[in-house]
Amino acid sequence: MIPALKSDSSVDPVVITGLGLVTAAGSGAAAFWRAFQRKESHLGRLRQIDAAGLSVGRGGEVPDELLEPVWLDMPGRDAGDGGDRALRLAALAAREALDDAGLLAPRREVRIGLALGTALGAVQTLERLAAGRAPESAWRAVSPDQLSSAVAERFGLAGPRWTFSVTCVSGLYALEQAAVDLERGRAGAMLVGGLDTLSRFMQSGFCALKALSPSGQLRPFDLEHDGILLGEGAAFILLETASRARERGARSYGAVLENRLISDAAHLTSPDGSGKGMAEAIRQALAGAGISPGEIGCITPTATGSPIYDRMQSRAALEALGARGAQVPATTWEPAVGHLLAGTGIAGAVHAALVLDRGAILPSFGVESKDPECRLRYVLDGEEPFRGRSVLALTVGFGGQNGATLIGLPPPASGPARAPEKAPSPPQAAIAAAAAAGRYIPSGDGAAKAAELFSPARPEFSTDPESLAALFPGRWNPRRELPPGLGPLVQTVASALQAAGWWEPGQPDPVPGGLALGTDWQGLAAALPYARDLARSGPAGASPSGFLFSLPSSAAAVLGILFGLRDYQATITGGALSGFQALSHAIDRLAGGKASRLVAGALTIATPELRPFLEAGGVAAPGEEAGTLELAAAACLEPGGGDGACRAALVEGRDRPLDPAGGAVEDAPELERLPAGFRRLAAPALFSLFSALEHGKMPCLWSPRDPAQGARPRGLSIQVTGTFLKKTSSIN
Amino acid sequence: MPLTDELRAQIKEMLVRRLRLKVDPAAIADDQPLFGDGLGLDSIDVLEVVAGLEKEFGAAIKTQEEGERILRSVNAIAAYLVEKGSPRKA
Repeated sequence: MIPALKSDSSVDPVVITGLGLVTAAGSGAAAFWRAFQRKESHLGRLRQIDAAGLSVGRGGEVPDELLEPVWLDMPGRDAGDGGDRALRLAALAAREALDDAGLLAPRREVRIGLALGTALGAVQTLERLAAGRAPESAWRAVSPDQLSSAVAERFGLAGPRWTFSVTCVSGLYALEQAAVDLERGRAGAMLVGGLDTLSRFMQSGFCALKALSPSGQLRPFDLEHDGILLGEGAAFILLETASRARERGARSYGAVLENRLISDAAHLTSPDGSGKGMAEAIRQALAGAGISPGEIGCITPTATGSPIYDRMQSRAALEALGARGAQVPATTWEPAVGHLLAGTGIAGAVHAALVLDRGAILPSFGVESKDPECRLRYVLDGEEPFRGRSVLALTVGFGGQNGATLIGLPPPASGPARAPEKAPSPPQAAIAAAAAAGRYIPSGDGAAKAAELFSPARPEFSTDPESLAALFPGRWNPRRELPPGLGPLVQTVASALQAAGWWEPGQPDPVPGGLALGTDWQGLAAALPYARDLARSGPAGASPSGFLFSLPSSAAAVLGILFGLRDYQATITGGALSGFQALSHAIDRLAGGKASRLVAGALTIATPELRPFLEAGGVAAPGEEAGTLELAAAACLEPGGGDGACRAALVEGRDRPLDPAGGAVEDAPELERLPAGFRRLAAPALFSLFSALEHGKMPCLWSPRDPAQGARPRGLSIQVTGTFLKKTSSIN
Repeated sequence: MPLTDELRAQIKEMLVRRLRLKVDPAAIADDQPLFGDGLGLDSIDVLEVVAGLEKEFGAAIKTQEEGERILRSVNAIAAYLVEKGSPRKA
């Protein structure tokens, strides 16, 4: 792993200039702080959702009156026009953050982008559709990217637009991209948010996973801690570069000093109890920010109230911070409002900003007798003053997702007080080395070189459970089927990794590197049957794996486990452009020195059950016979390439994914038999780009704003299986 | 509810269906361990079976740990259901 490059003291830090937070405690960061200060728990019996049959019927709901559609000027009913609770929640918190930053009124001089994280998006609309209680037009709203589009439209946000879905760390992945967009000047400000609503869907899934507190009490770090209580909420922050904030006289709450994400990649639900992955994330964050453990003034673990997470974060902090780990005051706000799912990471940033702003650390509550295995210095009695430079916020998510975020006092105008760690191998050096070794692709004879590099390796293995267990020793249960539709993705990624020389079948060692996966609606293929079953039979006996595979991040989680790709696991659910966005996101990370190896890919699934959704989105024409289609594309990327003579450009924001000169999308003969609507989707579109590379039409990938910082694909493959339109063709 | 072969057969059928096992239900021995080298179930399987017991036998198991204790073998599950007097639902 190459350490961060934001180290250079000339780099303009990214600061927080607006806060928005809507929780069970009410609307506004001040209401949240007040509830925490008064030790008010806003967790109680669920009212807004039907709790019948749920084994745990308690949580933290946002008061309905705050989400009145009329008040939000979003008078819709069910579809993407304001009706879904997730959208109203997002709109309310987004408005707060924009207003707080003084950017609510449209200002032409500031181009604002949006990066959003959500685990399940407009899930209440999906529930109503599954129960036959919503019009067909509502299908459009259930794709998570529609949530971002609606918020952007509501507030006139014209900058880049991203939607990430990585369980409870979703918001922190959005934060990663937002910081890059600001650094590269793609936006003058970025609105970054995380949110999820409570729903029968979510609550029943957590009940099925036995993750919720049977006693109905959220007691983090207590000997009696027995599980999570969920709260709904949306947390937003407005980010700008420090220089721009100064220019317009905006108040800065603090700087995002670092944000590191690592996955344990060991299990579909459980974290690695040793806390190794989280400890690594903390160490990397400190190194990247160039601050010492002594400068951390407060730690905020994600206090789910679940023993394994409470203890794991304590171990991780002690391991990464040494003796200082046991001295830093630690607190948690979750007993006041519950575990905010994808809202957690950004809510942690909002809380950190408030700690810095008010100079105070509030005591956590709900602890009567501390679990001896939770060994941090939890603040439990009275308020303590904040001393130090930075708050370390820890965020955990299903499947061992770890986030370590440092929010600190804004550095003085001249730059950080102390120069952070220098990268030993910055991208420029890597590019030079690659060129010297003759490994980069020159623009002249791209075709020959590309043919050499991109010979598509056809999958030579089956993806039945026994074969997977043999291919991935010790990583896959020989009895567990892959989630629906993931076979082609696993084979495609395997082929790409093999072609790149990063992985061999049967290899016991994990593949160093991470993932950026784009998917239009992969989770929906599992979520819809789960929602239908829930509507029909109620929550008792709901399938825990059915719920898990409903999460859009489940595909990346499976790849992470199989190949041991754990450095980073982004899932982008940006609709049809999500494949390009995943590739762009990966290139940004490589170019920024935050990763040394990434797999970028895309997955598109269509089943007959998804038909109404596809028709509402204009992907499939009504009346066409429906079959099943599973498409995947993947490429292995590492820093390199970058040649000013490249003919095609890649990805800036969402509106111009390809340079028309590249002409790639229609140039892939393998896709000709796909229905026209499908050629534009995540996997086919990304494949057509790869195909153009393979055929030498596009010798390399580069970012048009910064041709020196490219990323070079080393191996890639594509697989098309199944048929969607049996009437017109079969695709094999 | 008596501890009968019929109850054991119902449990085996539920296991095979719910976990999509590629075995004949009758081939699962009454005492065969369900975890480790036996049927090789993992922690998500445990939850899946707990959900199956709840839905089909009306047996509410509160925590994953409790599930792991009860789900040692078909016989152990059957004994638990008999003790709880859980009727088969459907």
